[in-house]
This record gives sequence, C-alpha cells and structure tokens, in this order.
Amino acid sequence: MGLLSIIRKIKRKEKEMRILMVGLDNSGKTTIVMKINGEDTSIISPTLGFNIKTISYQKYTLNIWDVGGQKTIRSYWRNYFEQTDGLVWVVDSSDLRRLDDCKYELHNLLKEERLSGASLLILANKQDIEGSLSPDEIAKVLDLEAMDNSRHWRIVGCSAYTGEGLLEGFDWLVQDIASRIYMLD
Amino acid sequence: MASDNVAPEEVVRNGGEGGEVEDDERDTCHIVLQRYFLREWKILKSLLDDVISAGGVVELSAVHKIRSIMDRYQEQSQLLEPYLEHIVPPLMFTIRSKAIELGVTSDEILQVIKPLCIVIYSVVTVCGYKAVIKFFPHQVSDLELAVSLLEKCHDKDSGTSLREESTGEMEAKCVILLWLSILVLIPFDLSSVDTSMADVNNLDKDKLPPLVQRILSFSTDYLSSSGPMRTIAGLLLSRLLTRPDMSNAFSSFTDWTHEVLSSKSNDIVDHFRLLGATESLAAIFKTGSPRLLVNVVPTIWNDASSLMKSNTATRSPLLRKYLAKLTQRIALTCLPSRSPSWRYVGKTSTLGEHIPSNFSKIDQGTDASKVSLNLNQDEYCPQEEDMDVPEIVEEIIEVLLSGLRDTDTVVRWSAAKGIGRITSRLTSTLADEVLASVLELFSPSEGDGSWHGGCLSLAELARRGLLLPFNFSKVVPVVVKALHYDVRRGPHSVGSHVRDAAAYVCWAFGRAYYHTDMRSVLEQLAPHLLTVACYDREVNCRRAAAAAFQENVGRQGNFPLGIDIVNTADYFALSSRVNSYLHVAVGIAKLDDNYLYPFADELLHSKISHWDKGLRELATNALSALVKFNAEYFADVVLEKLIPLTLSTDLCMRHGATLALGEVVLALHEFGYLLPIDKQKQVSGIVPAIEKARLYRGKGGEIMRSAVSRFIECISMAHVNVTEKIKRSLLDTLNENLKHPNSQIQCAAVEALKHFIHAYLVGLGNKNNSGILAKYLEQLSDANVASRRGSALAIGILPFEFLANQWKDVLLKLCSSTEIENDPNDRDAESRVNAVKALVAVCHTLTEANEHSGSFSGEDSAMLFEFLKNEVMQSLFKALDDYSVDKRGDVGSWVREAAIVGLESCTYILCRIGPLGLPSQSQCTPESHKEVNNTVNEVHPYFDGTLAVTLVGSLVKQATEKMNKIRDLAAKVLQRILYNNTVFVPFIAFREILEEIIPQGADVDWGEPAFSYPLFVQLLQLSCYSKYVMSGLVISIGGLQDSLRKASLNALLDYLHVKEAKDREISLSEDVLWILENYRRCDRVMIPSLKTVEILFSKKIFLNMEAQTPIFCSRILESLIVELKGSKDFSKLYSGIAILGFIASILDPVNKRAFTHLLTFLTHRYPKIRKATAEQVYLVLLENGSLVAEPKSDKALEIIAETCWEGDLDEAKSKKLELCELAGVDFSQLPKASSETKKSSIQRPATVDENASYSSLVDSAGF
Repeated sequence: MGLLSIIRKIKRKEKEMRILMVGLDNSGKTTIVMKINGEDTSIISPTLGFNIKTISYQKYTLNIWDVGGQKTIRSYWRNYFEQTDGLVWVVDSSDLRRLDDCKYELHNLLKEERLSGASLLILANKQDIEGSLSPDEIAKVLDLEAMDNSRHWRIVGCSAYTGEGLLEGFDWLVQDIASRIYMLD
Repeated sequence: MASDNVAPEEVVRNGGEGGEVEDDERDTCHIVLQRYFLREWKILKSLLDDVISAGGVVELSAVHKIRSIMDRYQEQSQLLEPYLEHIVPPLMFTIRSKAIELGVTSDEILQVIKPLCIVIYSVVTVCGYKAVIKFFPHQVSDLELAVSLLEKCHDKDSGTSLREESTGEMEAKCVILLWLSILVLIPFDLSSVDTSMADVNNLDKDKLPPLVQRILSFSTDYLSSSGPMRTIAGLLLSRLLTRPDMSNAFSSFTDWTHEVLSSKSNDIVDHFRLLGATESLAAIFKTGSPRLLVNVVPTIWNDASSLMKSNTATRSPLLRKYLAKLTQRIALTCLPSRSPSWRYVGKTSTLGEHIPSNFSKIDQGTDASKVSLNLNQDEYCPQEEDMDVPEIVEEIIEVLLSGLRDTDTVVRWSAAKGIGRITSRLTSTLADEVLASVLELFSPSEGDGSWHGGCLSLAELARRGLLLPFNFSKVVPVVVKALHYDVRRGPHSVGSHVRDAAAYVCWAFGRAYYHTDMRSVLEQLAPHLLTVACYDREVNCRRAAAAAFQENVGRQGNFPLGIDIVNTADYFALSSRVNSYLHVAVGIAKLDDNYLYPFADELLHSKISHWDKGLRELATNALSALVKFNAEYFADVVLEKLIPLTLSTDLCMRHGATLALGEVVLALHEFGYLLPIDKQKQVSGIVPAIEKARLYRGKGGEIMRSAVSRFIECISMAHVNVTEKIKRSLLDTLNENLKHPNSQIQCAAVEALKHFIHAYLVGLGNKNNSGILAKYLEQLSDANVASRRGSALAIGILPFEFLANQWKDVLLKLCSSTEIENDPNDRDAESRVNAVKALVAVCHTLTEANEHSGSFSGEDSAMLFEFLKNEVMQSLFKALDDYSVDKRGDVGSWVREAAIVGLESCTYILCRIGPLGLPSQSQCTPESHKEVNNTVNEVHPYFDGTLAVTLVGSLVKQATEKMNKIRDLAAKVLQRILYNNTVFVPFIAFREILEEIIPQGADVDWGEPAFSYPLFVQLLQLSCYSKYVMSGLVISIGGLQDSLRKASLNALLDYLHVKEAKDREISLSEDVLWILENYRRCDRVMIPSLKTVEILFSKKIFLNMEAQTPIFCSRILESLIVELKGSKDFSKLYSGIAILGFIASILDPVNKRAFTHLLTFLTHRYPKIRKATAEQVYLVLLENGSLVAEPKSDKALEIIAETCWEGDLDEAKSKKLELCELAGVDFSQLPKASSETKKSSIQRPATVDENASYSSLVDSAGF
C-alpha cells in the first residue's frame, strides 16, 4: 500500500481529473484559472512557479495544473503516478504576430506520446479585445484539422475577463473525459 | 572497490527496481492509449455479440480472449465502466432467458451459464462488484429464478476447488449471489413474492417465507467457504437481513453469529466460518440503520472484543482486519452522524459558481471567495460542544489504536481509516485526545508497524480536515522523523514502508491545507522530502517523496525554486539510484545551497554507514560530488567529523568514513582547495592508525583493505604531504594488499599503487626503486599464488624509471611466468594471465618512454626490440597454446584471451619502430599499403614475414576453435590488425584474400558459428594458413558441442563441394596428417581430430583421392597404432575403431593391415570396446569381400554375430583366433594385444591415474 496505489485509489474514488493548462506566455492561463476559481483577476503577474488548483465541477474533482509559460514543462506530463486526462491550450486571439509560434508549440506538444489520449480543449482567449480572431479563424491558422483523428478536441472562444465561454469549454472537456473514463450515472 | 565496481551491480539492481514500479518510459503508443481508451472495444463487442446471438458460449476460447482483454484494464477499470451497460445486461438476460427456457432443474442449464458467468465475473474482478451489479436485471420475478439457479449450483457442489476454477462453477456461484444481492432489495414484502406461499392462505407472520429460508440456508453455508463466495454471501445477507421485514431473521442470524464468534474451536472449516460471520456482521453494520443495530451492539461488541484477544485472532491477519472493520462500524453506529463544525475546510471552489452564464455580474466571484475565507478563519477556533460519548466508543478507539500497531499492513490500514471516520464524529477535545494517542505511536520503543500505522492515520486525519493547523508544531517533527525512519535489523534494515507512508502524510498535507497555513510547514518539510527523494535506497520512497514535494510546491504557489527542483527530480530521473545520488542531488544543491547541508548531513550520518556496501560506496561518491559547492565547509566541518569515524567500532561506519575521507580529500584537491598542513598531517596518519588498531583482521578486514587502498589512491592523487615513515608504511600496506587472495582487493591495491608510486616514489633515486622492483620480481616465483598474481599486476604498472635499468631481467622473468608451471601443484591460470598482461604493459612502458624521451642508447634500444621480437612475441605465441583445464573448466582460455590482446599491441609496437629504434617515418595509411610492401624491409627491421604468418595463423586458429568469446576476440583483433590506421602491419601474406574474408569496419558477432566458419574455412586454400585453420577446425568439428559441430562441419563440407574439390581434399588430407603427427599423444587435440577424420570418412571424404588415398590411409593407420596403444579413453577408442573399419573397407593392400589391427581390439580389456569392434568387423566383412574369401566369410560373420563379445575375455580370445585363421591373418604378426595391456599397466603409475579411465568408462556407459 504505497503512495502510488493510494493516489490511484483516491483518484478513482473521488472522480478526479487532471487537467493541464498550457499555452504561450501572456495568453491568460492564470487569469482563466483565477476566474473559474473565483479569485481576484485584477492583478496578475506572470506565473513563475506552477499552481495546482482543485475545483469541483458537477461530481468531479478537477485538479488543474497551471504551469505557466515555462520553457521546460516536460516534467509535468512525464510525471508522478497521475496521468493527464485533459489539456487546455490557451491562445491569445489578439496576438496575431505569435500565432505561428503558437501553432508550432501546440503541434510539438501534441507529439508527446504520454499525452496522446488526453482530450484537448483550445480556448481562443481575449475575444473581448477588438480585432481578435474568431475561434474558426484560429482553428484554421493552427491547422487543427490536421491532427490525428483519434484526438478528441474542440475550440471555444472565450474571455477570461468577462468569463464568457469558459463554462462552455470546461463543460465540454469534463464531459468528454468523463465519457471516456467514468461511468455516467 | 572503486566506483567502477559498483556500477554494474547498481544497474542490475535498478533494473529490478524498475520492474516493480510501473515505469512507462519505454511504453509504446499502444500502451499509452490504453490508459485513455478501451482500445479493444470492437473485438470485445464482436465476441460478445457472437455469444449473445448464439444464446451461450460456443467456443471457450472466446471466453479466454475476453478475459485476457479485461485483465489489461485491471489498473484502469474506469475505462471499462462506460461500456458496462453494453456488456453486462445482455449477458445477464441470456442467463435469465436460458434458465427460463431450459428450466432450472435441467443439468444442461449449468453448462450454459458457467462460461457466461466466467465473463461476467472477470468484469467484476476488474471493475468491482459495485459498478457491475447496477446493470443486473432486477425484476421481482427474477428472485425465485435466481434462488433456484443457485441451489442448482450449490447441489452440484462436488468438485475440488481446483476444478471449480476451470469449469466456472465458482464464477457461477459468485455471479448469482451478486445477482441475489441486488434482487433482495425489491421494495415489496418478500412473502408476497414467494410463489410457494400463494397456495397457503394462512400467512403466519412469525414464520419466514420459504424463499427467504432458502436464501438464508445457502448463504450461511457460503459463509464457511474459502473462496470469494464468502464475502459475497456476507454482502447478500447484509442486504437481506437489514430489510424492514426481516427483523426475525436478523435476530436469529445474530444469535447464530454469537454462537460462531464465541465458539472456541480450531478447525480450519470453522475458521472460515468465523471469518464469514465477522465479515457478514461488518457488512450488516455498514448497511443497517442504527435503530436496527443498536440492540445487538452489546452482544456483538462483547464477542468481538473477546475474539480480538484470542489466539485465533493473533494467528489470522484477515480476521483482525474484519474485526477492525466491524468494531469501527459499531462505534459509528453509536455516534450521531454529523459533520463537525470544527473541521478544517480546505479551499475548493466549484467551477461555474463563479462564471455565471449571465456574465454581467463580474464581481460576484470575488465576493464569494472572501466570504468563504472568512468562514474558514472562524472555523480555526474549535468550538466546544457537549456530547456524550458512549463508553463503548472509547473502548473501540482504544482497539483501533492498537490496530495501528498491528504486524500486518491490511489491519493497520483498516484501523487508520477507522480512526479517521470515528474522529470526524467527535468533538474537538476528543479529537485532540485521539491525535495525542496517535502521536504516542511515534516513540523509539515502538516497532516499525506502529510508525507506519501512525503515519497512515495522520494522513487520514489530515485528508478529512480533522488535523487542525495549530497541531502542526506537534505533528511535523514526528513526520520528519518518520521520513528518515530506518532501523537496522542484522544484515538489512526495515522502514521503507514508514518512509513511504510519511511521504503520503506530506502529500496529504499539501492537498488538505490552504497555502497560508502550509507555508511554514513546507519550509520545514522541504529539505527532508528532498533528502529522501535523492538519497533513499528504495526507488518507491524516492519517488513518493518527490511526488509529495511536487504536490506541495504546486499547491503552495511560489515556493522558492520549487519549479526547478521539481524539474530536476522528476519521476524518471529518480528511477536510478546512481543518477539520483550523483546527478539529481547535485543539481538540487546547485540550485539552492540551503539543501547542501541537509544533504551532506544525511550522507554523513546515515548513508556512508549504511548496511549496504554498494550504497556506502555510492554515498561517498555523492558526498565528494557536493564538495565543489562549499569547499571550506567540507574541509573544516566534514573532514573533522570523518576523521575520528575511520576508527569507529562499527565496520560499516569505518569503511564508509575511510572511503568518504579519501573521496572528499580528492574532490577538494580537484576543486583547487589546498588543505592546511595540520589537516594533511591528520589525513596522512589515518592508514597507520587503522593498521595500528588492527582493523584488517577478522570480520570486515577484507572490506577495510580495499577501502584503505582506495584511500591511499585518493590521497596520492591529491598529493597530500606524507612523511617518509608513513610513505613506507603506506607502501607496506599496499604490498600486503597485493598479496591478498581476493582479486578485488588486489585490483584496488594495484590502482592505488600506480598513483602512489607516481606521487611519492618517482624521482627519489634508484636505490629505493630497484629494491621495490626486485621484491616484485622475486615474488613472481613465490610459492603463494596470490603473491604471484599480485606482483605481476604490480610490475605491469611500474613506471619507466623503475624498469629501465633491469628491463631485460624483468622481461625474462615475466616471459617465464607466462609459461605453464612445471609443478602441477604450482599451476595457476590467473598468475599467468596477470603475467601476460604485465608483460605487454611493461613493453608498452619501456617503448613509449623510449620513443618520447629516447632514454635508451641506440644499442640498448636495438636490443630491446630484438628481445621483443624474439622472446616476448614467442612467449605470447606460446601462451596461445595454454589449454590448461582445472575444475573451473578451460582456465587456459583466460591466458589465451590476454595473449591475443597482447599480441595485437606488441605487433603495433614492433611495426611502428624504424631501424634506429625510433618511430618509423612512414605513418601508413591504407592507400599506401602497396608501395610500402616493397620497401618495407628497410623500414621494419623488427618485423618480418615469418612473424606475420605466425601471427595471422595463430589468430585464425583461435578464431576457429570452440569458444565463442575467444573466436570473436581473435577475429576482431585480426580485423584491427588488417585495417589499423595508425600502424601498418606489413608482410601479411595473402593480405587481399584476408581482407576479402574479413571486411573492414563490419561490426558483427564473430562468435556466431554459422557466420564465421564459412568465411574462415576459405583460408584452407592458403598453404601458409591452412594448417592453423585446420588445427582450430578439428577442435570444433570433433568437439562435444552439437550446434558448433554442425556449423563448422557444414562450412567445411560446403568448402569441399566445389569444382576444384579434389585439390582441396588432397591439401586438406595433408593438413590432417600434419595435425595427427604434430599433436601425437596429445588427447586434447587427438580425440577431436580422430573424430573429425571419422566424420569425414563417413561423408566419403578422403576415400576417393586416387593415389593419395592409400598414402593417407596408411599414415592415418600408423598414427592410430600409436594413439590407440594403451589408450583408455573411450571416445578415442571408438573413433579409432571406426576409422580402422573405414580403412579396412577400402580396396587397397592397406586394408589388410587395418583389418588385422582391428581384430586385435576384439580382445580389448573393455567389453564395450570388444563389442564395438565386433560390430565394426562385421560391417567391414560385408563391405569388403576380399578380406575373407567367399566360402569362409559366412562362417566368419556367424562367429562375430553369435559370440557374446561383452562376455568372458577368454571366450573372446578363442573366437578371435578362429577369425584370424579364417581371415588368414598370422597371429604372430598381430600386434600383441596382451602385451599391450602389460605395458600400459607398467606405464600406469606414470600416467594420470586409474580414476581417469574409470570415469571415462562411467561416462561412456551413460551413468
């Protein structure tokens, strides 16, 4: 009865899901986490470390890992006992200059074998800013259709500032993971 | 003993560790996907569809297939769950419809449902019964059906438990019991369901419906079962008996359990019944309402508490576990269910709560969080409540607390959960008392079980919010201690489970508490967690500690450098112990030197004195790797601590301390830190002090010896100042270690000596040096083998200055040491191996120093190279002929191996040298080979064609012999010699052909017989190498190893089956004769050679060579006469007789001689040989009519066939005479078989012994 088996058991018993928040820096990952966690979003500085937030949704417990814009995030999915069930890739829809970077990083991330089964939610953030691209346009730029067809994915426009779209996105993600790994009862 | 020796052991061990823990580094994509999806759903679906449409299982293989797919999801059962509704209901409906269709009384029904139940039960084992039974049909009408079905199974219960497994009986029972457990929940009065009661109108309220009685009857039966039915029956009973309409049955059942629990019988069956009764009571207390249960609490608690103290419980962990469950549920029944107001509420919020779908009210979220924060703060101050705690609860808490101390993990685990559950219903004062009692478990006088149980319960309390932050000051120090818990028990230690559980506590803390509460705690815990993560011996503890650290860092927010540390100490980096010690720990110390001191302390205090020798050695390396971060600290504090420890009474401590001291001193030197003189003095005095304390003796002396050698090596490399006196003492120590029979100690001593001489003795004047050399030279011929081995090793590492004056003596002495010792008692293969290696090493030292500094005069250097060419090379060739064997097997192969390597390097030395004893000017590239060949004589005065042929020949001989390893080495060396880029080896005859056979750069396994033999047999065409190849080949063809024999023989036969076969055969026959004549009376070669000849004859080789055949045969015959004379070796005799038979069968005058000789073996003293000879004679007579003329031949055949040759020798003799007459063989011409025996009996004392022949006889007789 080592820690490994305990964690596994707890995860199952408490219907936990591990969700990784990733994306380029300044895309608004921490703001999204704060927003859904009901914290003050007015002052947010770049994430230096990483944060694990536990949030409950319906009967599930979401452990959201907000890992900041770190260069070396490998160790988060190469990690302890827990597997990553869902990926949230946050895009700054108004930062047109870095969309190519964004596309490159995303496809690089998806090559990671250890993430190959995780459901992917793409949040096209900052929809409230004028001149930002729509989710459909973002999907085209990021070439999402070219992904492996076994991947469960969806793109949702949102604004971390107003909270618009976040619920829709997370609802899809949680339901998708749940339909894969937990019995709907 | 240096780190080199640790490494392989470490790798193996870590390999083992990796296997235990799920390590998905090398997972395929397929397996990874298996963690996210049920991959085989399509297959599963089609298999199930087949089963369902056929109304039953047609092929059992389908069942096994389904089960093997399910088994893969044992750890990922949640992936299967979404599919359960497509798996379970159809199967259950099939069972139900079949039961209705065939009738439950038919025998056929069991055959149909059993395989179906196997499938369902395999789902149960993967997903658990709770998930599965939701999908069972639960119509009222099913109840009677299921009861009858189970009774049918129950009646059939006849087979042994072994049979049940394979036929599905057990699975059928389990599945139907499970089905019943959901069916009995039907919300109608069971008596109204019972059809048997429909006829009887007088409903007796007190009497149970027959249906219920039937269920009760088999369920209680199953409570005594040893299989999984026991647990399920308990579950069924708990559901049934807690129904409101079952109060009568309930009380009679508790009466029954009272009887069972209080009976004092020791029967095995009774023991299972006891388990079943306890288990069912525990299940009843889980489901039943307190109102129902409260009446029976006193009786059951009485029984349980007295049972707990009984011997039965002491012997059975399972019973104790059930009792722990039962008692905690009793306590929960007695306590009102509520969530205590004083509980710590961690801060989790709900998604959606803060993002209203109507997002106009942006600020709502922040308000909500403030409110919840305020609430939390209120709750930190515990509020006293009035509550009466029944006495029984206190007793039960007492029982559970002692359950935490249990020897078995399952009991402790259950007790810990119980403590958590009960505490959550207590007042804060009582909860504090519970915590205080839990903390009492962490005392030094308690065993490891208590510590483990204590950790588990602390984690449980923390997870439930029952451990309030103001208790941290009491709890954290205890957790820190538990993180380092490691208690020595003789040759090992216990405590890894405690450390793992302590990491669990830290992990649970990280999850449970808000970061403002955790901050100070984490600061205290972090260094300890990281110490365990880097330096624990067990991989699971390292990973557990790192996981706990990561969880805390993630929840805590901006922990200093947390992210970098987590990155450094990730799951995979920690999987190897060596990597954790030498890289991860160093990486973390580099990031933050706050961790340096805890790390150094951990190594100093517990790891360098660890019971595992490998770990101690690793720890000393880990310690030295930390030196660079704070050299002053290590020079002052650490050295100060280590020095006295080197004389510790504890062996592990002094061994570790000595090594660590050496490593740290060396690391300080490498870092550029100069030790103060007084410290140097202290360090240099260590070895004499150890010696003075006589720590080389007795147990552990060997361990200390190698440690001291490494220590001397380290201080030599660090150039620590040493007085003359100590120098002498150190040298004596090393010399002593050199003579030690343990080869590891010798190697350590030689390594040390190399550096010691370099640091302290070189350049001190010749007098001293020649004394040292003379001593080693003298020891080369010491009677003690260990001292011979050691001195050879030592000479090998002596520097030029020591050797220059007496180089000739040294080389001569070493050359003679490579030879097999005359006195059989003195023979020692390792000494010869070391001598060969030393010889080559000395040649290197001498020539290299000469090349660089020209220390020899021209004349001297010419002499040296002459000597190399004429003596050293010859010695090495001779060493290639070392085939000595002892009880370990072919020990000579070590010598040959060393010689092959030595030949290579000596060849390069000789080829590199120009006429003046200086490196030759022509540094040859392969392109310039051709021209070089012409002018080469000028350039290579110390290498010539003869030498080249012998070199290549000897190598190809080794490359065709029987040991894979040697063949591989020889072939590779040959390859390197052919294609060497820096030194061109000239004069190699047929270089082009050799290069064709051995291609450049091909990295292949030359040890693979099927690959190498076909290539090497080609060399038989080259007259200068053919004899070498053949003499290697016969060993393989005539050897004992079948696969090798086949491969080599096939290669040879293929070689002979070409157009120019005749020429090849003739030259081959010459080579064979050469071998037979060259290795006369040398059984090692002769036996396989004769065997080879026999095999080749049987393949009709050598029999059709026209003029050559008779010559060949007669020379074989001559050689045979010599070889067989007095031989007692069966295989040799057998081969000889067979060959005589072949020769006698050919049509040439030589056949007569062979036949005559063959006849003499009819009266050989070994009956088996006589018989084999008779068979051979018979064959010859059939084959060759000319030997015995027509009319007599029948008679001759008759004699052979009818005589019992294995019987009496005298009879054999007279029969032989008859045969001789018939064959016209003059008896007087026969070689005297009788005198032969006499002769051999005279020779016997000289030859080995009687046993040899006896064992050979036994071998051949097949005993």
